[in-house]
Order: sequence, then C-alpha cells, then structure tokens
Amino acid sequence: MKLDLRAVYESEAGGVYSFLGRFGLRGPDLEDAVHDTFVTAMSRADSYDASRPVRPWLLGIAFRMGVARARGVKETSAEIPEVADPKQDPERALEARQAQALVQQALLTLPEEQATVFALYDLQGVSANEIALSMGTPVKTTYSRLRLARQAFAAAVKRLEGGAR
Amino acid sequence: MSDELEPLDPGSRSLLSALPSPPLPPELKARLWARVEASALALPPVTTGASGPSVAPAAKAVGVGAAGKLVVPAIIGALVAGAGGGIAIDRALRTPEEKVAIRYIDIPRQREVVTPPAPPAPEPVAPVVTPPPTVMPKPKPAAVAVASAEERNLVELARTALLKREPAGALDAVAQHRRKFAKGQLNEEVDALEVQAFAQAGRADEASAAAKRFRAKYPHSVFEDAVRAALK
Repeated sequence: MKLDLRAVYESEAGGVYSFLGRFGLRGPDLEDAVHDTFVTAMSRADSYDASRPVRPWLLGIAFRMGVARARGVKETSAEIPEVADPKQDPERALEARQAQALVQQALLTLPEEQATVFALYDLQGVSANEIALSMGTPVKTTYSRLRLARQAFAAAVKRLEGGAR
Repeated sequence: MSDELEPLDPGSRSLLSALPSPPLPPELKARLWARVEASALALPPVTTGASGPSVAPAAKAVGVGAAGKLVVPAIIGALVAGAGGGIAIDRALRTPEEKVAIRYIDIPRQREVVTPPAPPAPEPVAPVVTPPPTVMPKPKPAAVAVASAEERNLVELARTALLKREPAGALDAVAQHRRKFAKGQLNEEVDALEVQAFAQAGRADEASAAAKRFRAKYPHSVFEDAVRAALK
C-alpha cells in the first residue's frame, strides 16, 4: 500500500492548518505542527488503512502534534507578540485568542482518547463514524468517549474560568 | 446512535463558536510542502522488528515522480517528534501491534538556521542559532523564553547532526544541553538522542551503557523504540 503524500497534502493541508489554528497554535509553532503532521503521516503509512478515510486519521496525528507543541510552548506562548491584522476588529481578535487559550488549556486536561475525540468531533466536525473507523473502535465507543469528553471539557472550562477570576 | 448524544452544552458551544479558523495562505502552503518533502527525502535508513529485514534508505524508497508527486512506500517506520512532552497521547490512534522506530528527521524552518557544530573539539563551539525574527520576547519573561528556545534549538541541532550522519556533532549538542539544562524539559529526548548518536558513531559499548541508563531513568519512555532501533 502506498500513500500519495503529495495528493494528501494538497487536499488536506488547509484543513490541518485550520484545525491546529483553532486549537490555538500560531506562528512558527503552527507551521511546525503542520510539517510534523505530514511527515509523521508519511512515516506511518504502514498503519494507514486505505479503505478508511484519510482525513480523521490525519487529524488524529495533527492533534497529537498540536498537543506536543502546545505542551512545549506553554510557558513561552504568552511572550509571542500578536501579529496585528488590520482587517480584524481588535476586540474580536482578543476574544478569539482568549477562547483559543481556554479551549486549549481545557483540552490538555482531558484524557488523551477523550481529547482526541472531542477535538475531531466538536472542533473540526469530523463525523463519529469516521472517527470510529480511524480509531478502529465501535461507533458506540466513540459516542461514549465523546459524552465523557464533553462533560470533562465543560467542567475544565468552568474550573479554568473560576481560577481566572 | 447519534441520538444517544446529548447536545453540546451552551457554554462550550459558545466558546467553540468564538474560535477562528485561519486559512492557509498559498505561499505558506508551498513553503511548508517544500519542508515536508525535504524531510521525507532526508529520512535515514530504518529497520523494522527484531527479525525483520533491513529497510532500504528512505531517501531511495521515497520517490518523487516526474509529475512532482511524492509517493511513500508503506514500509517506513519513523516518527518525527516536535516537542517531546505531549507525545504520550500518540497512543490514542496507534494500533496495539504497531511498531514504530523513532527517528528524528525534522528539517528546520528556513528562518531558523541551525548549523551543526564542527566535529568534537576540546572547547565546543556554541551553535549558531538565529531565532525567528518575528518573536520578540518582552523584557521581563525574556530569560525563560530564551532559555526554552535555546533548549529546543540544541535538540534540533542534535537531530540535524544525526540526519547528516554526523554523530560527533550530535554528541556535542547533547553535551552542551547537559551543561546548560541539567533540569531541562527535554532531557528524556536528549538522552535518547545520545544513544542514537553513540550507535551511529559505531561506539557500541557506550551506546549500550547510555541505553541502560536511559531505560533505568525512563522505563516507559515513548522514545524506547528509537533507543531499541539504534542498538540494532
């Protein structure tokens, strides 16, 4: 089985970049995480089942790369200056940054399988069927993980918001 | 089945709806592809399971066709790890029987020029590191930010040297890391790189000793596959 990396990159790079951006990565860390995602995907070609959709498999890898980056840059991210976008309302930009930080922090507190399912389903809109196929688990298990993940996520957000006050 | 799932609570829904979805600019997409392609072509030789046959060098196994398509055979087992800390989550989608030999093959960003040092010298020369021009640490937290960036750069330096089959340069970077970051965040990764560097240098006894120390210190490390592969 061969994986046409160029074709996969062409069709999926935008989605991976956007997904990791929603997760709160930016600048060099965002670029590195996208790079790592595709190189890791290439190196994992032997674990890719061509009968299954490539997107959730790739986004699963992307999320792991994103988490690794987020943990690695956690202490320094506050020092990365914002790149001002003249077209963007500063207030909305700030709101978005705060939301990203909160979502990222909350996700980092979740067990890995729950965090992955939540990120794919609720952050990126991948269907439960696709997630189940890519993880090799029954759909029922995916929903069960998602339900627990949502509860844990909501609790983490509440806790983090409470701590920030 | 989806009807078993209750709706996302309003607070979470509101929070997620505030997240931006940044588009990938075409110029950046092309630049990133160049990095990905370069990393693919730089993959070092990798061996699979204990009794498995040696795999041809990835640089040969990865083909770039006439149409510019990069086709990757399904035999390559390697993992590019960015930051070490969160790799444990890697297990989430990994099948139980999957064996992955961890190698470090990242190609640095163009604007972060990391030059491996010369072969070992009595007084190791500090790495030439050009930090990203867009990152301007603020005065107070600068010490933390610079130290962390320096630590990551040293790890990248070691990786790059291994990629170039320059184990001496990798060992030099490892030594520098040890001196500067006795309690660094990437010590586990660096210790694994040391095993790989000794092995690549043909210093089998030192590689075995380093691996023994590594396993005693990190019995459940995510870098264990890389250490094991290096010793073969």
